[in-house]
Amino acid sequence: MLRTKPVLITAILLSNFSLGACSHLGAKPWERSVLARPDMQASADPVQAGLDDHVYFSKEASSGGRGFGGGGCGCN
Amino acid sequence: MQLTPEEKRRALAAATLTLLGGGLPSAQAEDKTWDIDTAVMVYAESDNRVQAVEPVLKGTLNLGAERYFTAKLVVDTLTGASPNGATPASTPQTFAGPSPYTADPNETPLDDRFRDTRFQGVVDYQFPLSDMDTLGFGVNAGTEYDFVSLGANLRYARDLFQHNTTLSAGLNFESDSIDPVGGIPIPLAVMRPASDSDDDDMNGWRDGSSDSKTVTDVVLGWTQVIDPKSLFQMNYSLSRSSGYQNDPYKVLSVVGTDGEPLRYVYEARPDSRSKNALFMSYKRFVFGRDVTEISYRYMTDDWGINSHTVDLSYRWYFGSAHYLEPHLRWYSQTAADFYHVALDDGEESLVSEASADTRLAEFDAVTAGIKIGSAVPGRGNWSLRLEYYQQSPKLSGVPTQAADGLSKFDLQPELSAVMLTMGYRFTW
Repeated sequence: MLRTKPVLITAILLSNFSLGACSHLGAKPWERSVLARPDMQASADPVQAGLDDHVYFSKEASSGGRGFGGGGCGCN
Repeated sequence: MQLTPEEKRRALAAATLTLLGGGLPSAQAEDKTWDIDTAVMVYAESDNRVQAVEPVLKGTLNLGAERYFTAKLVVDTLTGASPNGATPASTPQTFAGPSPYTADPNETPLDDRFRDTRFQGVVDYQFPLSDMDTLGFGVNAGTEYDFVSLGANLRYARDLFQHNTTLSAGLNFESDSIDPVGGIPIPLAVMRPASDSDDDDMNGWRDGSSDSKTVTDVVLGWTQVIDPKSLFQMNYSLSRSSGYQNDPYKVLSVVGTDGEPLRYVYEARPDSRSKNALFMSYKRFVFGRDVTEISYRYMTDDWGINSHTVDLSYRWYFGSAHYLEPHLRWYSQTAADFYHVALDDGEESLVSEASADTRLAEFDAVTAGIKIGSAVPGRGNWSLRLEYYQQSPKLSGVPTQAADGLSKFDLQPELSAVMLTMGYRFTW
């Protein structure tokens, strides 16, 4: 089905990435230069993410996930 | 490379702030510095529907010792027209109100009085309790012409296993009040006829009052460093909203078997809503240069809506410090149990809840975009992003007796929008 296909692909990709790394989970303190990059943060561009959340909150029935779902907005 | 404690914490403590859609500033200095993050979004829907301009100014003051004070101001200027929920008709339709509006034959009725300016302010403070623990709290307030929102949140994050795992918990409370023009309409009551335009007290169709709702959000998060180049995040969130959930400007058409409207009734939603969401994200540094991220969210609520969201982005660095970032987002939702395109004659007295708001309908949506920007450490960085959004509705909630009569109309037209975002971020 059209709806389940991307979901399945995502799940497979996520599990592959995770399982492949199981034997060496984590990074030593001296191995963190990449993880400290601004673009490797969990939310690298929070202002833009906030703008996106506001658009989708006002046009769709879902919100949140990455963070809190309340919109503080009368748009939905 | 041996990192400073500041950099080590930065790599993991981000999970705390992301609960608020925050994120740590890029400033590396130990001195008191402001990380200023600004953006303007221009949002334009097709067919002269909603147009918005939304500037954001966010400043994060690095107080040293991993303490951050953040202030953010958002202004949102909206104009244009929005569907009022009614179905098209073969003849012009005029809708009552303080300023009546008319829809042409066979056109989706749009309320063109849609005009508002929203102001939102956020103040936030985050500080470490120990090398392993971070606490953050924030307050926010928003005002619109007919809407006021006040909120407060508290977040806690704990690092484990040499900062490779972060567990976090966040609690957000929001209190909203709504005071629509003419007062709150009585659910499922008939919208007064347009010919009755001198009827200032609305004759009981609107009860003249305001209303309120409260929203409580809980988010539990797990962020895991997989290896020196990748990060996995999973959040579970629960959101409970109690109180007034209706859109006071939305109606439903009550139609005859020929599909033509007999009257309009105000929508009626349940007085509470509980949402559960699971969010997963995987981010990886690839080819010693680029960053790619894939995320998935599943949401389910007690209104019968389930949704899936898949988001993919790839930041490709070219030259010494510039990137190009294609982005794809796919979204799909089912309809709310009480969603109806329209109601059959007399059905409004048989149902206790009904809404024709297209945001509660079944649809798929796709966003495709591209972003270009600079990423020079310690310098001001700009970005420019262009995105296209399209919603493709699937027809549902058609009243049985009027199904044939309504089939001559385009009941759920597609919605498309273009979004242009300009950003500039610098340390001061």
